[in-house]
Amino acid sequence: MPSLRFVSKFHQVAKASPAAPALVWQGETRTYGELLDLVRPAREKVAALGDQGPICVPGGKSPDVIALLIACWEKERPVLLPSDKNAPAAIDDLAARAGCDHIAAVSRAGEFLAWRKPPAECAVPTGGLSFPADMLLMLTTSGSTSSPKVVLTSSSGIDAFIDWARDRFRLSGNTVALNYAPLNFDICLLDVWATLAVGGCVVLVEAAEAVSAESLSRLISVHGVTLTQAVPFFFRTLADAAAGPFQTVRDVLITGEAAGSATVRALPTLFPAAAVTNVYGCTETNDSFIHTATSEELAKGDVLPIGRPLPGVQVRLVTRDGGVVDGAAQGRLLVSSPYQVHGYLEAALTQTQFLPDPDPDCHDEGGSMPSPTRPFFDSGDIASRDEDGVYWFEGRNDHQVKVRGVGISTTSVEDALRSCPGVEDVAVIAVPDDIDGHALHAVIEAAPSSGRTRLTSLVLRRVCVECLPAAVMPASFTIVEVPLPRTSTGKIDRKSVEDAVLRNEKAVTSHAKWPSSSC
Amino acid sequence: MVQEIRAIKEFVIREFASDVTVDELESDYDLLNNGVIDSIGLLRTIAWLEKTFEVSLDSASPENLRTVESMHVLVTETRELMSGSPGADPGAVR
Repeated sequence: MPSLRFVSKFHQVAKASPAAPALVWQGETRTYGELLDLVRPAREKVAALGDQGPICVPGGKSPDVIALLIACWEKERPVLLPSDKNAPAAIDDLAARAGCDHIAAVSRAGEFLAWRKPPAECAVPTGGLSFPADMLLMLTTSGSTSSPKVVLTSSSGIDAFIDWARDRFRLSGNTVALNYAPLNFDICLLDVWATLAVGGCVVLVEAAEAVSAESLSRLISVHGVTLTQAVPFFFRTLADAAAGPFQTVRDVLITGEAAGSATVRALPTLFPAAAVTNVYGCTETNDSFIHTATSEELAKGDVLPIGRPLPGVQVRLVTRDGGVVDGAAQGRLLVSSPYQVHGYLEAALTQTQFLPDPDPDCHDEGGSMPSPTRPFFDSGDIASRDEDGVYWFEGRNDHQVKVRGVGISTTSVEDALRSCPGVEDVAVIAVPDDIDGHALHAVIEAAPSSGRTRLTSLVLRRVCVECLPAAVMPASFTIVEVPLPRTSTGKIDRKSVEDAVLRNEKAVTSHAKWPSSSC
Repeated sequence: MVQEIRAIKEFVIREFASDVTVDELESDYDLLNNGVIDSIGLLRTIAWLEKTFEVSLDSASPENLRTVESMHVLVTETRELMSGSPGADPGAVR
């Protein structure tokens, strides 16, 4: 919980219960006293910097990184926390954009190595940056482009969210939370920072452990995990391995994207003593909707609704023309939340995504008081509201999709591939996938051969690794030597491309339409 | 040795990169970082290596399967261990 109040609560806990377990990492337990021992030298490293600007910590996940973050917040230094999956050049660029004079270099083993400065060639914002006083953490959105959006969180908003989460999930010194997501994901506000604020224990899942049902099972069982919050892939991994049952888990939170039917049905067997909660939120708004699944829903494997707004959250469903719809209806989801962020680093971007209330006279569910000064975040998601006032997620409004819980734009993947020599044009198609949420399939129109190295999937993969986060790597590449199909207006006919991709997936037709190679 | 590397390349191409030729797949191409072989693909690869080269790869790690070259080293070293000979230098005395 990146706020001064968190720092205060953490120190209270560390003083009152220094022997209580705070973190489990790589099989070792660190007590609150031991974590505090890591914070002290980190504090000196931060103090040695002298100046007062924000700091970039592109860390993986380790006690040292957590101690460094606490030390930064103690010193009231805002922290930019980008994904360490970003290419190094992208992190440098982000740090420079956010006005960070220093970037923490963290080893693969999770140890702080040294401070470094963004390279001089990185674009430094002109005219200076002004940050809200109530802000100690900058998160980044999807990272699907080379310059992801930087989100300015609100410390008071996070404090309010943590209070809600503490009460809603009965967080206490007895809580053992499994932290599955990387530290830069906003959902860590609950399973890492809220847990540490109440004296609970956080079991940190490393990237290598995250795909192994055996490792995950061991962590849950050995450490008596009571709360798990993760994307459906996590639960699917355990279900496929017929793991469990995990009797100690009391709360299961599904987040990031909709869980598939088989995954939902497996949950009561995996976690027989747990309440299953479906949670919906964006980085910009934090958790906004919640639904506790009934035993009937779990048994049937129903698609779970996103549920009802959290206390104080106001919702508008708007049509294409911007009109607000009432009652049972479908529309683009706009959310105004007491837990939401200040906006983006770029004010112009904030203005396009954070809008005035489109219906100030609306009476909100639950009798929440309208906040005339708090804008509505345009989520870009399509949602429907049923006759009982329960909300359902229907899909993205544009080319945004989620792959392994990471929101990405297929357009940005196309842009990266299009930059590759030998590529004439490209269409990236997102196909729903039971495990990953979506799988991306790239269809590439090769430029006429000019005698250079032949365009192959191996070349294209290298380009993707250099330009894009790992989750964005397409599942398949189909290289064709004829023009992609186009609509009458000259745009790529995505529907035709998608149909061809699906036909190839099912292997029911040859590649007769396109002389292609696919892998 | 050359034949074995070629066989490994042919397997990788057949299973994971059907649009490339043996000559286009470099022995040191990073198959894991570049997403050619995923976690399920690793299992298939181990199974194929074990069957084809008649070795047991119980202790293989993903690092051993990162490139065609590292796969070949893994197979060669495992085979040497199984036969109990130092292999590379038969005359070496320790």
